[in-house]
Amino acid sequence: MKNSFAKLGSLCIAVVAALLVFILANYLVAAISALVTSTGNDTVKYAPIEPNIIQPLYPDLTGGALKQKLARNKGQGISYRGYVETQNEPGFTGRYLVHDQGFRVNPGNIGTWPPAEDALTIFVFGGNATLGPNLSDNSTIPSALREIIVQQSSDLPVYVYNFASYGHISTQQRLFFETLLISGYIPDIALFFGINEDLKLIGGEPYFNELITKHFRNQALLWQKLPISYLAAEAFQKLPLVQAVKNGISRQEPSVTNVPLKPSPDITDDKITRVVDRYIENTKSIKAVAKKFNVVSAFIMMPIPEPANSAIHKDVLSKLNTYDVFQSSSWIDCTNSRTLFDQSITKMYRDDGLLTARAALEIALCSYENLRMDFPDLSALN
Amino acid sequence: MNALKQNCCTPYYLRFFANLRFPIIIVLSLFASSLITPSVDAQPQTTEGDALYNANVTKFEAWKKTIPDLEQRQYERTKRINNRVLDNTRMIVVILVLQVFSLILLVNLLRRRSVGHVDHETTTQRKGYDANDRPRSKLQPSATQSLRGIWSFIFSEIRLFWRSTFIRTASVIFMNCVLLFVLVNVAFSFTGFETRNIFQAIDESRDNWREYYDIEDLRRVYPDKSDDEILELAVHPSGTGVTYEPYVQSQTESGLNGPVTAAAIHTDGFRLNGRKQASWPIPEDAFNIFVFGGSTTIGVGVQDDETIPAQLQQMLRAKLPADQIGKEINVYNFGSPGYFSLIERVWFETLLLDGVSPDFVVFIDGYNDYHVHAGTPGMTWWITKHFPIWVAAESGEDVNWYFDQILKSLPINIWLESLKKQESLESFSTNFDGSGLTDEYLSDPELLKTILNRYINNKKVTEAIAELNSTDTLFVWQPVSTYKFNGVLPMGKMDGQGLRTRFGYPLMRKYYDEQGFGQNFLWCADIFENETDENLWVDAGIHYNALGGTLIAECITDRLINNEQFLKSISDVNSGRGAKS
Repeated sequence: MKNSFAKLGSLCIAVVAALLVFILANYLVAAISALVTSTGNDTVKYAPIEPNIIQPLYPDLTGGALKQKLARNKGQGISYRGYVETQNEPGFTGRYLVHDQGFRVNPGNIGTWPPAEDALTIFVFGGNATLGPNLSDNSTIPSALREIIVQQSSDLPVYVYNFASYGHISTQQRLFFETLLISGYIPDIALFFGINEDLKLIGGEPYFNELITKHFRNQALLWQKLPISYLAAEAFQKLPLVQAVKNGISRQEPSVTNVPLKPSPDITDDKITRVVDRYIENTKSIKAVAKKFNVVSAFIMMPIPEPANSAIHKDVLSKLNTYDVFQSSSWIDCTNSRTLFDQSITKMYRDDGLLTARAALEIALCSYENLRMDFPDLSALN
Repeated sequence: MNALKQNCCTPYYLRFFANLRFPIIIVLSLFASSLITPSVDAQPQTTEGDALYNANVTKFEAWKKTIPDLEQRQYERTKRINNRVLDNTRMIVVILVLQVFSLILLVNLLRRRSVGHVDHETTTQRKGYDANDRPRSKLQPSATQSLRGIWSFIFSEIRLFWRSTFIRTASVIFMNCVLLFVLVNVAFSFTGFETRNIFQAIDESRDNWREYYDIEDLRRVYPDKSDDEILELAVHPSGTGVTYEPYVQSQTESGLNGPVTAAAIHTDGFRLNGRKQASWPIPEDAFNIFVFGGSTTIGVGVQDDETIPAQLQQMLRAKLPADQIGKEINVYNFGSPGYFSLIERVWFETLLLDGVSPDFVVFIDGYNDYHVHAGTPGMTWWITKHFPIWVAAESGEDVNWYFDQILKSLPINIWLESLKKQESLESFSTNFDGSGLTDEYLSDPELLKTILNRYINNKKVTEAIAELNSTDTLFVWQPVSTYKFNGVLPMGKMDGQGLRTRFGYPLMRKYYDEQGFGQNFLWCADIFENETDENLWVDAGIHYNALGGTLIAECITDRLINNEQFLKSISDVNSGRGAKS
C-alpha cells in the first residue's frame, strides 16, 4: 500500500512536471518568435500627427477625444464593417492614421468629413497596393494623384480620400462605394483600382470570409455548446510549440494585413473568365449607380505582378478587351505604366506585393493623364 | 532524504486523504459562490417563440416514429459524429500520455545512469582516477568532463526537486484538484444542466420535411442532386438557425422544416412556397418574381405556403393564368429575418453577380428599417467586437481564446450560467434591445430623418442596378401594428425598437404625399386600418399570420395586375426583349 502511494506521488510529480515543461516550452517558443519578429526593420519614417490637424475630420471631437483617435489601435490592421466585411482598422496603426469611416488620412491633405461641397472630392478604392501601408502618407497613389491634380489643373481645393483596404476585391469596392453614397457621402469622382485582388481571391469571396464564417458558426451557438474535445484540439493546434514543430520558428508578421495575398495556385482559363465576368459586372453596376448620383467613375487597371503572372496578365487583358465597357473612356489601362513614363523602373512591386514609391507615382501619373483626356478641366466636375 | 524521513511515520493513505481537504474547500467555495450569485430570473419565462419551438419539436418527435429507417440512419450519423469527436479527444489524450511517459522514462533513465556511476566509483574505481585507473587531469578537464559536471548539477537539482516533500505534496494536491474537478464536471454532465449539443440539434432537424413535401417537389429545386443528396440537405448544417454570408452578414440556415427555423430553406437562401414551389434555377420560360424583405416576408410563424410570397404567387397565377399570358408566374421568397432595405439590395446584387437575374423584384420594407435603425446588419456590433479576437485566435496570437471557450463549455460552468438570466437571440443585437424605451428616444428627429434619407438613397441605388439588368421593381411599404391599426392584438402590443415605427411612419407618409417615392412605390401601410375584428398577428404585433399575409399579398396583386408597366414586363419577357441570360 505504502509503495503504491509512493508511486502515486511520483506519478503526480511527473504529470505536474510535464505540464510545467510544456507550458514553459510554449512560452519560450512564443518569446523567440516575438524576438525574431521585432528584428524587422522599418525604413520609412513616420512623422507624428498633431491632434489639432485632424480636427476637420472629427468635427464633433475636441482635445482629449482627438488625442484618443491618434492612440495606437490593436495593430491587426483590419476590422469588421457591415456590407463590406472588412476595412482598415480605425486609429493610428503606428505608421498612419485611419479614420472611423475607413479611409487613410493624409496629414498633408486633411480635407473635411463629411466632404466639403465647395471642393473637388475624389474617393479612391482599391486593395493593399493602393492603400500603401509601406509608403509614407504623401507617397501613396491617392496622395500622389492629388499632388499632380493640384499642380496641373486646379485652383479649387482638392481632397482625395484613400478608401483602399487590404484584400478588397471589386465587389467590396463596389459595396463600399454604394454604402458611402447611401449614407450621403457623395464624391465628385470615384476611382477604382483593380484587378489584382480579384485574381488572387479567385473564388470571389472576401479574404476573411472563411475565418468569419467559421467563428460565427462556432460562437453564434447561443443555446448550444461546442464539444470540449473540438475546442481542445483547436487550441492544441494553435499552441506556439505545436506551431513551431509544424512550421518552424519563422518571422511572424505583426499584423495579418502584412501578409501578402498569394496568387491563386490553380488559375485556369475558366476561372479567369469568371473573375473577369464578375469584375465587368461590378464595373457596370458602379457606373450605373455613380451616374444616378452624378459621380464620375473610372476604373484603373493596376500593373499585374510579374513575372509569375505575366501569362495571366495577357489573358485578362485580352478578355477585358472583348467587353464593350472597356472600350469606353472610364477604363484606364495602367498595366504598362512604366513604359509610358519611366523606362528605368525595373520592378513595380516589392516581394511582399506592395508598390514602391516610384511605382505608385507612375500609376498616379498614368491615372491622371488618362482622366485628363476625358475631363480636361477636372475642377469643372465639382 | 531527510525531508522524506520527516513524513515517514504518517500513513500514506492518511496523507493522501489529508491532501484532499484543499480540493474539497475549493469545490465548496464554488458551491457557495454560486449560491450568492445574483440569480436574476432563475426560471426563464416561456415566450411565444419557445412555445412555437416546443410545439414543433413535439410534432417532430411524433412524426419521427412514422419513419421506418430513421433510427438506423440517426444511429449511423451519431456514430459518425461521435467518432469524429473521439478522434480529437484521443489525439489529445495520446499526446499528453506520451509526454508524461516519456518524461518519467527520461527521469528514470537519468536516475539509473547516475546510480550506476556512483556505484562504480565507490566499488571498483579509485577517487580521482578514471575507469581505466588512470589519474584525471585537474588542470585541463576535457569537454566531456565539463559537460558531465553541468549535467551532474542539473541532475542533482532534478533529484532534489523529485525528493522534495513540498513539491511532492503540492503535486498530489494539484492532481487531486484536477481529478475532483473532472469528477464534478462529469457529475454535472449527468444532471441535465448541460445545454443541447450542436450535433444533437443537427439530428433533431432531420427528416421533418416529409410532412409538407414529396421528394418530387424537392427534385424540382435541386435538379442536379440525387435523392440521397437531397436527404442530406434536409439536415441543418449547424443547427444554429443562421449562417454567415459575406456582405449580407447572416442568412437563415438552409434545411427543410427543422426545429430551429420551422421553414424549408433552400441552400441558395430562399424559403420554399410549399408544394407549389417553382423550379430552381429560375426557368427561362416563366416570369420570375423575387420578393425581398425581413422576417415578416420570410414568414416567421406561418407555414411555407402561407407566407406573403407564397400567397402572392397563388393570387397572381389565379388572376393571370399561364394560358392567358403565355407564361407561368413564379414567385420566390427571399425574405430573411432582420433584413431591411439596405441588406435586401446587397442580396439582390449578390444574386445578380452570381448570374441569377429575375424579371421583376418586390421589396417589402418598413418595420425593420426602423427597428434595425443603425443602418448596418443587426449583428454588426457583435462581429465587430469579436473579429479581432477571431483573427488573433486564428493566427495563433491568442490561444487563450480557446481555453476561455473550453472553460465556458464545462458542465459546471453551464450549470452556473443556468442560474443567471438567459440570453435570447433578441438580446444578441443592440438593435433588438427590448422594452422600456421612451418616446423621446424613439422619436429622435435626426434619426428618423437619417432613416428616411437612407431609404431614398438605397432605392436610388437599387433602381440603377435593376435598370442595368432590365429588371422592373416594386417597393412596398408594409403595415405595422403601430400605424393606422385599431384591431385586436391577442399576443400583446409591440415593444422595443420597432416602436419607432409609431413616429417614423407618419413622416414617411408625409414625404410620400408631398414628394412621392416614384411610380414603383406602393403604400400598403394602412391596409389593416379597417380590420378590427380578425387577428392578423402571430405574436405581439410584429409578424403577420396567414390572414395578415393574405391582405398584403392582395395589396400587391391589385397593384400589379392593374399596372401597365408590370403587364408590359410580362409581354416583354414573352417577346424575348427582357430575356435573362
